[in-house]
Amino acid sequence: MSTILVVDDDTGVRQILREYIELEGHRVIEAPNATSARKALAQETVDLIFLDVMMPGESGTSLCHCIKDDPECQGIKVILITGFEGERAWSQGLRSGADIFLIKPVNRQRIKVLLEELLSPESRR
Amino acid sequence: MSNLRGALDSISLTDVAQLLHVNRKTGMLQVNSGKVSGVLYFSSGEVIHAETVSSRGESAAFEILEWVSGRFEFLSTQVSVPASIRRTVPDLLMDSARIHDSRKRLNSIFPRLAAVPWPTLPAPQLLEGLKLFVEERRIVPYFDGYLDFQDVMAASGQNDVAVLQAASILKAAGRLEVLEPDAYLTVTPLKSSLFKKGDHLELPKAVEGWWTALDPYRGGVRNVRMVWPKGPTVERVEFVTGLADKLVAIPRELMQAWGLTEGAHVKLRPAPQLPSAPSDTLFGALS
Repeated sequence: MSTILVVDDDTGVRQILREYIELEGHRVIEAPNATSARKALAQETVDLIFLDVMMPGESGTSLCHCIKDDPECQGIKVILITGFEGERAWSQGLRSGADIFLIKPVNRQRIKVLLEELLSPESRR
Repeated sequence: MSNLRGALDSISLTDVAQLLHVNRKTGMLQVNSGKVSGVLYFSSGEVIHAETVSSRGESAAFEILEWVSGRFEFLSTQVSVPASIRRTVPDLLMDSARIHDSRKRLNSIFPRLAAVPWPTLPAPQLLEGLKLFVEERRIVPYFDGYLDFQDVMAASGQNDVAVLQAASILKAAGRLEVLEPDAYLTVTPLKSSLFKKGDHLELPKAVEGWWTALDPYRGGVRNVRMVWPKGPTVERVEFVTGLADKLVAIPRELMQAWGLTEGAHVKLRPAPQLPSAPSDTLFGALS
């Protein structure tokens, strides 16, 4: 079982992601913003983060940069989620250092495949 | 990971490409859109080559990454193809997004690929003061008032974005009109007689009036390109009175040869002067 941090200011999105992730047998921690996410990261060992781009306060992109620059967070996979598509969104997402840039909508199958592949032993090597 | 497979309506190819990149996979990502198929070749997580039925290299990769339905399967295997793509997966995905954006913008300007672009200025002045890439300049001569955008793509070997981009620059400068000269008509047998040879098609005068009101065809229409499910042909045409507006009269021998029956529906548009070669040669390569 892995521990997944879901960071999104939308309660509904967090609930749906929690449901999908728990169905795959993993543990979920929720954070409504970047500040709470930082606290959770300081207290818990996290394997993967679902991170929304657009949040009040610090953006998901900014938090992603910090996580990827932090040696203590090395090995944590980050999936950056956005509702926007197009060149600008991709540019922002891909340059944030996220492992996967995900454009909504999400569905259970998509989450299942992402978890299987990103949490596989060969992915963690 | 060697068995990564699924349907594109549940996970996108951009997700799959990113996963293969993160996991530094080597192998073949086979994709079938339902209509066409293609392969992206990965080496240590980077796309090094791509192939579809119609293209290879980067253009094939961009084509495949646009597919949103169908199925995919990744086969973990050694790949021994020459590397034709040298950019990283993130760069490839970003360019793919850029092309996607361009296509959306261009499709809003030119919603129909069956439309015919027609430059309103002669060649020397047409490009004066306009910034076009070399590839775009090569496309412009195909805008002849007879070829539609799809024909231009086939004849020039360029994709829809390149062709429409060239057209959009001319249109923005007020130097291009877009025509829709296709007439959808119903086949009726041409009655030949002792005084009338059956070596041409006949169309109603009303169609001639409509076509010759359009700039490229003001000088008159002597040939038409006819398209039906079994193929295109270019034939000589005569415009007659007494033929109902929605009919095209075709000699029985030709109907038989082309597999057309009375009442069948065909699409016609003006065609340039026939070369001396037999029919079909002019547009055969464009069908």
